[in-house]
Amino acid sequence: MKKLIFITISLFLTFIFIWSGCSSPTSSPATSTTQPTTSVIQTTTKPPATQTQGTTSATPSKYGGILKIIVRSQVSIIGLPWEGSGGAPHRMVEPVYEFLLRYDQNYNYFPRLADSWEISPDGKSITFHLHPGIKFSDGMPFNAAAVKANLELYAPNNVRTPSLKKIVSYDLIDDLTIRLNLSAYDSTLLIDLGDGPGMMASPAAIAKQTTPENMAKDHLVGTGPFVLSSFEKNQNIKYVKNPNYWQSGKPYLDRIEFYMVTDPVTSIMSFKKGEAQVIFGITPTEAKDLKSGYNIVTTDIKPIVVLLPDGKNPDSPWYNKKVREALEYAIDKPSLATSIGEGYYEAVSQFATSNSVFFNPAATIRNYDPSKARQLLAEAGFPNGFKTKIYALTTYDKDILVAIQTYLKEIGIDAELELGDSARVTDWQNNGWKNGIFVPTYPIIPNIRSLSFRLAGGYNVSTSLYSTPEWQAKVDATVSQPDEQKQLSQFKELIKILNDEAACISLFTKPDISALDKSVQDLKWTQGGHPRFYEPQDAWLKK
Amino acid sequence: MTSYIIRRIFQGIFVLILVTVFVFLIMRLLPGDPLQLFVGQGDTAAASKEELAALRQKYGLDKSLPMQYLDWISGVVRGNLGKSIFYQEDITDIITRRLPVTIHLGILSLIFGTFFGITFGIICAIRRGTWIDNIFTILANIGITVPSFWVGILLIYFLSLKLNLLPTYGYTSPFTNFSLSTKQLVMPVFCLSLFSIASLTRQTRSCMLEVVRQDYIRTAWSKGLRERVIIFRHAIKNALIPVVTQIGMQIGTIFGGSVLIETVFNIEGMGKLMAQAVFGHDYQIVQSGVLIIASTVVIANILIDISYGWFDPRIRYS
Repeated sequence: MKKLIFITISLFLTFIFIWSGCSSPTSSPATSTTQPTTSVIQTTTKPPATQTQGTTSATPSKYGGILKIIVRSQVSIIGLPWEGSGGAPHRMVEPVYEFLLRYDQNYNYFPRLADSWEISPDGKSITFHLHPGIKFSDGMPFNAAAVKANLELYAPNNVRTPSLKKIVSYDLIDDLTIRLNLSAYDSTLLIDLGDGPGMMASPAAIAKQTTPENMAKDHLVGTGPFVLSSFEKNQNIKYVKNPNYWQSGKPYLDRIEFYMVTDPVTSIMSFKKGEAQVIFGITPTEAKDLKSGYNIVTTDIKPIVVLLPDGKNPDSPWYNKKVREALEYAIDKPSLATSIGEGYYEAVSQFATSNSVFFNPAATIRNYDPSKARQLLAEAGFPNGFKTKIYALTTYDKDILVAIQTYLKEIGIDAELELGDSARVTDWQNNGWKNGIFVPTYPIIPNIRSLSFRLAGGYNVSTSLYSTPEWQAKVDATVSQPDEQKQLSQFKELIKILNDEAACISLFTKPDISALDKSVQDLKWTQGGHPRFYEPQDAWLKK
Repeated sequence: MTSYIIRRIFQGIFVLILVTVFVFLIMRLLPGDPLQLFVGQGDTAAASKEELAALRQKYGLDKSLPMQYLDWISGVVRGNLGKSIFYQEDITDIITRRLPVTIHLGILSLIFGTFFGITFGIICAIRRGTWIDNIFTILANIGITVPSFWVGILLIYFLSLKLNLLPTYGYTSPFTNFSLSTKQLVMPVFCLSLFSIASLTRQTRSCMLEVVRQDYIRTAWSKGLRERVIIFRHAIKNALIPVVTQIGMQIGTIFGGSVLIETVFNIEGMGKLMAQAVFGHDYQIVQSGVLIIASTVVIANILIDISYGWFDPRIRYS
């Protein structure tokens, strides 16, 4: 009898294993051994229509409710805008801090705390006219002095905003008018003032001495629609409505709460259970799974995944332009974007999306053509290919890396994955990498600020990234161009240079993806010119 | 006995010193600069050389390795574990916040693991060959092989998402909200104790089977003693020596296994802290964390060794 039971159980388990092994696999990214079909980058492709976030409707039941947001990162330090972990503010402090101005994905600027501004013809000063009647949540007035107090302290406490260092002095014209005098015009300054440096903290909070334990309570004081209720490091941040918010009648929500859940499976299950109405930073596969029951939102601004060969190293095969061109011809970008992005990523032919104001139709397009890639390698003196490395973070999406590895293998380039932790990646970024392709951990936002920061200048990858002799001068000239139209054409020229020289191979857009419960209205989550933007004062929950 | 304990304590101190030196050197041999990592987070540029030099001096990283080690160890003796590069706060404060969480989880899982593991093992041994023995043995084998984090995800899926019986994740102090704390701990404690229950079941069963075959047990049966008296008065103490050794070894496993469980259930404990510190090259936290974990394991093993004397008087007299 016991033998019979044992045999029955064994047969059943064997059947289960065989059945699960023979069942049809779920869709997998471009790592299969079959040849993907050739496809050309369509200049008019659009990502799939994301569901809209809900329209404003004047219903009497807008007020009330707690909005809970799950984020997959952790924050252990919050306080003044420059007191975030590593010195960068986080989206989780935006219910408290507001920006001087805002911008959309085409860099059209809109007023917020500043009603308007004028740039002098020579670009050496910008005068801001501040919105009257605004107070910080501690009762301090928001005025020109407060703006000066914030900007004066942001730059020395944060190395990431060289634009602020161009401010040489401040003129307080009156209580609501401040002029920033610049050593030279910097077009990234307006971008910065619509981002972290533009976050305004109360001067009283700035002046307050505090300890790490009390930093959040003492320093997180802004003009925003919410005030801090509690902060548990790496766990949650809770905000409660600011009863004295300057926009009358707002906010609608009683509370906003952020929950930091790093494990992707746990965070998704918590979201599905209804423990939060928004989850930020989901993968395309998760988005596809959630599409039917939730609103899926991608950022308006689409950062681009790029490959950076070490074209500056004369000992590296990538020093040769033909080899770099071969890299771009070797990769089927539309197939890669489709298979990995589940429709949320869009292949690009340059460092701008096809519908962007920065798109330069004159830039070289290199569509997938492995035979052309092999021909270029042969012309460059590598008829049999060569060995190289792909440098990336250990937690980087392996599907992308393995797909690139596979494409390179097809043209004879044997690319070994060299994965490192954050410290090693930072080391490669800052001190260069040898004979290989560096894949930046975060995709790059296609604007002049990111380009000047991450693809030029004395920082980051410029140690190994190929650049023309006049590259830095052209970047500096673009940054310091006060005329918007001229700047636009100069930036397009920079994109063309990057493309023509194959210094930076742009693959596809990789926007952050979020899922929102259908009750969430008007949050405008990640909409605008930066993935961090949203509108907590306008958000409400449909009952 | 006293001299034995003193000897073991000195041995333990020596082990701790070796462990700290080893970890200290290993961390510094890893490629990557923690300061560049700290400054270079996110979409950022690197700090200038002067700024990095100032940071290096602030954290004592400009000194030679022996000096860095001596500075740290002298701070430890004075109760100062240093300052975290990443969290920008005293490590003592960080550990004070996190260690009780892991200890709470660990103690509960140790208690459950020990209790159920030994109980199931005894049941299997005295009901050897029956359906109870077969089922428990199969479950024990499964418990040893399945990854605990996978079990955690399954539990979240069924108990939390589908049946809505328990919260998905989190930790609340029992002093803040005992009911919520208990609900939140059910799944992580089960996952953390799973391997313990399984391995102790097998070990106890094996040891009990050996003991119940002994002549003195047969004599006890012959005398007409009840089964409960035979098991608990005569058999169990002799069977538990290898089991107690295993329990001592599992204290270290609990700290190590807690990394995955704390990640899955989003619990801010020592395991998660250590994992983050290793990836972030936060030297001070890694050194301090290893010191605490090693101390716990050493003390636990000393206590286990002392307990042998209680289980087996022959050891006491030798």
